[in-house]
Amino acid sequence: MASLGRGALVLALVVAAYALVVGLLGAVRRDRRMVTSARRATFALVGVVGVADLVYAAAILRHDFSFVVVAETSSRSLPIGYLITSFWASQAGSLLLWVSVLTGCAAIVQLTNRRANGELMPWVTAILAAIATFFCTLLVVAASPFATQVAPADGNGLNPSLQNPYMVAHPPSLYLGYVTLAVPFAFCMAALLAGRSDARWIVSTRRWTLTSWSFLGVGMLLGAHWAYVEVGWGGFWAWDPVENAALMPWLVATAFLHSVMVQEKKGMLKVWNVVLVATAFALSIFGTFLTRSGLLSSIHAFVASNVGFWFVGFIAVVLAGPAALIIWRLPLLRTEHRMESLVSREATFLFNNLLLVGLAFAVLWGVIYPLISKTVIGDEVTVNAPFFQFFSVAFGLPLLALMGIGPVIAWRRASLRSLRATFGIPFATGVACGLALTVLGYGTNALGTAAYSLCVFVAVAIGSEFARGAAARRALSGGSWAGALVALINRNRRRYGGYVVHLAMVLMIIGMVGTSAYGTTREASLRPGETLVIRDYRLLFTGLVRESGPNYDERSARFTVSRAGQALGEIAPANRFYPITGQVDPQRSNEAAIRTDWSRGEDLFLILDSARSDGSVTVKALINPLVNLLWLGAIVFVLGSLIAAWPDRREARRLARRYAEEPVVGEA
Amino acid sequence: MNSSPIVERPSGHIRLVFALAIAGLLGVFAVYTALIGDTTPLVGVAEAAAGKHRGEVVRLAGKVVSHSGDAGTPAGLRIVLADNATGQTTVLVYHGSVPDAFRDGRRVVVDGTEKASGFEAKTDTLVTKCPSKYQPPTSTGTVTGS
Repeated sequence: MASLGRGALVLALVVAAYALVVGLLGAVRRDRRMVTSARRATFALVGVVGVADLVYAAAILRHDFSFVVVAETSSRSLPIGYLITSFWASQAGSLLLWVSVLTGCAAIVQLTNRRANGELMPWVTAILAAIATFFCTLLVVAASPFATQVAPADGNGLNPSLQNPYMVAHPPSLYLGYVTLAVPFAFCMAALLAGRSDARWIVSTRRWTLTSWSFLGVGMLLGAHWAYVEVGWGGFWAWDPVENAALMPWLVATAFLHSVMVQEKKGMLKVWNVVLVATAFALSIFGTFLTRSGLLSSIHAFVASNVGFWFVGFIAVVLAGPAALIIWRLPLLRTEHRMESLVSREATFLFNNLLLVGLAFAVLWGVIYPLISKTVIGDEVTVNAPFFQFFSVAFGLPLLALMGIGPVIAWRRASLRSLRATFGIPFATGVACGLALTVLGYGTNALGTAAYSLCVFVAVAIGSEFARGAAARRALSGGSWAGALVALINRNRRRYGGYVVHLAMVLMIIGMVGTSAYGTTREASLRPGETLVIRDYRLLFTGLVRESGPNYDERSARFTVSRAGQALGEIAPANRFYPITGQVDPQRSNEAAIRTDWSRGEDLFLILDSARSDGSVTVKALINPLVNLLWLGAIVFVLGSLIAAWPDRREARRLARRYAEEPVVGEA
Repeated sequence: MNSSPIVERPSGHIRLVFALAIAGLLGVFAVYTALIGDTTPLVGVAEAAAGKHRGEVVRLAGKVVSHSGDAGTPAGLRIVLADNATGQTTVLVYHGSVPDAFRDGRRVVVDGTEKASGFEAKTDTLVTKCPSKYQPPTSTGTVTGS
């Protein structure tokens, strides 16, 4: 079995390299037979990598612990759902997932562009094959999932923290986000290589970019929810390098999604868009590298990592290649229009881009600062959470304001009169919100008050756009408000899907600010019969209970909760202990108890820090106000992304007409 | 190559604003981290023992050799930590939350101050490697494949 898997990976490497070389030759020589052969190799690659996937999946499902990676990440007692998770729990497994998703995407690109982008596709085929060649090389040379050993009786099992339903979806979602960024990157590079300076590559990959951006966003939100319910410190984001690894490409992809509108509409920011798409892809590779290499836990881990130098080399190529292409094609990338005013939609998008990219680089700076300090001053110095928090607020608040301004301000130049008409009510409502919060006693946190005022400003500005549009549709064709709203969204899904995403961001920011600015934490050691008071909640500790689960032993602390004399039921934070074959100490997992109060929009969060043989416990309790708006915002985010990415025949016809009429720019 | 349809070049001041904004941002990052930023040196057990950062708050990295006690009690959790490279050990007492992945053999990081009397760990600062990078100890047996 392992030989079959290893053989499949070697064959995949050969096929990917063949697609790369023949695709390049076909593109340079304009040889149709070579281009077709490279295209077929792309489809063959799906089959060959699929064989490797099947062998690896079969080894996991059959508990074949002669596979080293299977023994390290699964066990006989692991429930079936988490056996699936163990596929990508190891470095080798996650790299195999990368290649599988990439080859699948490459095949979809071939299928959907059979009769489109004839000039670009040979280059696209070669570039995607180059990326596949790199990852296949890693799997064959540095991190094979098919290394074997004398099979132990049982495996080590999956890390208990990963035994959570969110962890079934979180890593694949992030990987889908990382990998699908390869498609816009490939099209962008293909456009430069083919000498096309128009926005066709952007239009052709808009859905891929949206898909990638959405999966990265959803992946981060799933991870945040997993951290909240499973890791058990009461928060959802810790500025860990691995979390930052997904945030950076997402921020740059967000900038790209906005700046492409300026290129499509005004023919501006062409170089900037190439820089953004290359940076987003390079950061997605960097993200994969960070997640798998352990680079930043220790400088020594970097040296010891068997994939580290491969990734560094590949990232260097991903950055140097586009830089060289930009310099070569600079005459083609000149802007077609002048920016007429700094008070216009294109300027707003430019500011938004600067802030997003600035924030991404602030995060990158914080992530790689230990390496920089080690190189420059000889000491490894880490950057703490306040650094990230400072920049997320400093850049986040203006970005929040631009979320309300950008969608509604006029293109080219906005007059004072139009600004007053468009932003008068949202601005006044935002100010009124700030005043109301101050009067109600929430003004002590100035940043929280400012954030909430801006949230109201954005919500009213975007809500007004929906209301204006729906009113216009009703005036044209009558019907109900709901029908007019649906027709409005249906008529321009990209625009209104984007507005829905902005509203989702507002909800999420309200949730994030609520917990960070207005949360409460209490910690106490308690004996049975003692009470912990947090705000108006009283938590009476009634005792410890021991139980057994399918593959763990559990120790839970029982609390009866009351508020203002009213009983609210029982909650029980717990510790679970998962036995590991051959080891005395079991693996511990903290199971936080969360009581959600939808009427007050807050969570009571209880963590069992430790339990002692005399029956006493140490617990940490938190009140997280409005945190559930973060999860509600996540659902709205998915809805908005779906609306924006949903195929739109009307738009497709319009674009087909536009590009049929537009002359090819640049050399053929 | 066909001639490209350049209608107008962007005005110089917009480019200047753009370039200055980027340069300014990079400057702010550098100044913030160098002068104001909340940064902590990351040191190994051997480096801490050498006393280079004595009296400073540092982030101590090492591998857990053994542990005993309870981080929730006044006596605390006693951790014997080994240097990742040299194997030199130190003993520290920790109070507060203990990550799920904490156990013997695991690499951990903890904030604190290196004093003449030993390393004084700060409450609630013990972290282990992210679960997504979790690699359990290799199963017993001989690796035969590649």
